[in-house]
Amino acid sequence: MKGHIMKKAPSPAGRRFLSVAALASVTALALSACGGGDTNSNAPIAEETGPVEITLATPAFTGGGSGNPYLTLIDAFKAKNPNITVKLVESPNDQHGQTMRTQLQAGNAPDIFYVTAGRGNNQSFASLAEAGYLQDLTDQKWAADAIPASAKNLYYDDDKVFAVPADLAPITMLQNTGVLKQLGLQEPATLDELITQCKTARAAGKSYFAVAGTSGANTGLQAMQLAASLVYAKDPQWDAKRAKKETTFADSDWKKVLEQIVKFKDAGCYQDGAAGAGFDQLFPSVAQGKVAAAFAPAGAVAALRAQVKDGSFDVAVLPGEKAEDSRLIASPGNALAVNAAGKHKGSTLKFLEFLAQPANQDALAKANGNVSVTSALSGTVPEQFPLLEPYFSEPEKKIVTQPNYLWPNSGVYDSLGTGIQGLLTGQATPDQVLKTMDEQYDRGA
Amino acid sequence: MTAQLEQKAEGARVTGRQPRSSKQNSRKSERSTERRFATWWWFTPALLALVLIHYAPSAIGAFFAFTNWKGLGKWKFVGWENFAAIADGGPTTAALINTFIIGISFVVLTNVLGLLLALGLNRTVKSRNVIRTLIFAPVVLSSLATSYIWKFIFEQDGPLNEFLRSVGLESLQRTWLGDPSTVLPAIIIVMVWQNVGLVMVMYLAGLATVSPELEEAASLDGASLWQRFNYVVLPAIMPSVVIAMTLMLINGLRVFDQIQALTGGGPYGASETLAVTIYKETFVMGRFGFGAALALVMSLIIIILTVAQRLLLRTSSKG
Repeated sequence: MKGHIMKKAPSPAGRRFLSVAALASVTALALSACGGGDTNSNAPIAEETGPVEITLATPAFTGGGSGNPYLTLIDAFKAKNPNITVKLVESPNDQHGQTMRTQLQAGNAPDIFYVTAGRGNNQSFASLAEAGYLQDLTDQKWAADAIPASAKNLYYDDDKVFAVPADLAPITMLQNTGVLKQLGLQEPATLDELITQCKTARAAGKSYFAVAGTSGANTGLQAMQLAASLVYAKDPQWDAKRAKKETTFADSDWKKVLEQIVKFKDAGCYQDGAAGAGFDQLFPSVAQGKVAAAFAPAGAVAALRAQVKDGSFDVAVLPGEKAEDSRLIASPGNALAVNAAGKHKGSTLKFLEFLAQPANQDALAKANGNVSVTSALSGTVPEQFPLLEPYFSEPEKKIVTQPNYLWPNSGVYDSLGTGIQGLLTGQATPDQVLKTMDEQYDRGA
Repeated sequence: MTAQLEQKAEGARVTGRQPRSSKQNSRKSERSTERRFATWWWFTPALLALVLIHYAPSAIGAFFAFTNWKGLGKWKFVGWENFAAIADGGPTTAALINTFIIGISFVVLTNVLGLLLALGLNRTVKSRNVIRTLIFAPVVLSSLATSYIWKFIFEQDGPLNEFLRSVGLESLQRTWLGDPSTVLPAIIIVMVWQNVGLVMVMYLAGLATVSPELEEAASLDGASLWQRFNYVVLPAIMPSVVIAMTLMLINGLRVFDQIQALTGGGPYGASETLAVTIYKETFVMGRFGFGAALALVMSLIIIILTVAQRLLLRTSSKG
């Protein structure tokens, strides 16, 4: 033991040195935590010839079938580029955005990853681009070509491009047509008809809708669908006006949206216990025929059809006050972005260019159960969604942009989702919810 | 038990500082310095790890409480702005009230039930070891896993409502986690169910130090059951009371897992606590600066309440 005993206590100078070293290490940690992204966007991108492996990160795919839709395209890309291996990494759906943010800051982010358009949720690309974490794609002609003119407001930030759209997921009502037939119900043309049908369903011991009150994302989908007809049919430029502070949520037809939800509740449209229901309860209740419909992205119907072979499922659009007001929300919101600090940017851009080709986008949309950008532009009705035909045949008039992509932060949509839970329990009024949404909106990006 | 450990540790420290019985007075102070330095040298790696892993990140977090950082990119100092926003109230006030309701209910229920279980299962009951194990079992399970099981139990079509229907109590059926009037009691039940076993074990350890002869003597002197508990048992298990109440207060005030899994803070904030608000503001809203400020406030509240509780318990044990 004696050998371990030091002969001298540290001198005052030694103590000072230790103090300074400790302070320096703490400061270094603080500064490293504060550092922004490495903006190597403008550095020349080297052509890579040797074997490389790049990583693609997406939210976990829960649609069943043959697994993550990107796998097919990864195989096709590998066949054409044998020297480039694309490794797919999945993260839980609700944690993907935060996982990417953390990894980007830590410097271990994947080379290419899933983002959403605009800046309205924590998976949106805009705030990542502002912080310098995304590769500038403005000079890549194929990237600009992949962005439809109608979606430029979702992808261009100061005339720069940082993400490329992958496909569209129309926001719809996923319905069990067997239950509707059993109840003798036809597709409702107006909201009043829908209320009447809710009462019919309730009298037969079922409910028209299943909503996940505990999931703001789900209740928000319903509100946005109602807004498509109640707000955007009348004023397609409402979000531009809100951005210029020419209107507010509280002083607009958004109030009608929330009042309609209260009417639905009072008419018994929602399942019992809707306020406390979780997202996991939605699809089983539609599949088992306990309810007629649930609000979900249209692609979900493919998973339901695959999992319940003897069922009959379709997607439809929530009607408006008048039949002609009905609108479909469909935006090329699913997108991919490239890590500005990635080590194999040449190969990564080659892979993204491959994905941006129309034929590959069609293949991806088919595997995803979604709609490809090319189909949407050409007005081609996706064969899996026959009831969406009237909307895709007149896209400029009948399809509106998903509103929350245009909102400045994720707090607005979160306030909408949780506010609707308050409407279902009677804790909140439409005015209170709209006021909170305005407050969140005014916080800015 | 902890008290004994503390005593032993104190004894060890005292022994370690004893000067050697040497007559060489000129070398006494040098040796004393050597010994002190050796002590310092030995704990340096642990101290460094503690500072770098625990205190430095906490200090950085505290630093961001004075910025408008959004979790990405640049930030600027905003002074006390985040704290002023907390003081403004709104959802933070509701979260604070919920935190206190849950924290206080949790401390009281876990300690009362834990003590009753410990007293009941201390000596006489047959198969007490099996029962103790069963009651302690939830402690070793993941709080997230058990919360999801309870979420299923509380569902509209879940076992609890089915049971009420089967015994003709349809009027009591409700959406337990979706009803603002029942959500907090439901969460508290889950938390107490999971933690009461731990408190029971702490009290069992305390009760093991109570001499049966002392209780018998009190009984022979005519002391009632309550008097025996109050004057013989309780003073002996006071160290367990202090530890159990302190730990449960801290756990109750900082609860996150169960609430996030059961309700996510809903319905409409009815079960949102400070920890859930911190998570939402930081990771959902991207307001890292505000979240850091709120985390600082929560830490301060926990420290103040814990110290106050320790002082109160010390006073009452002396009294």
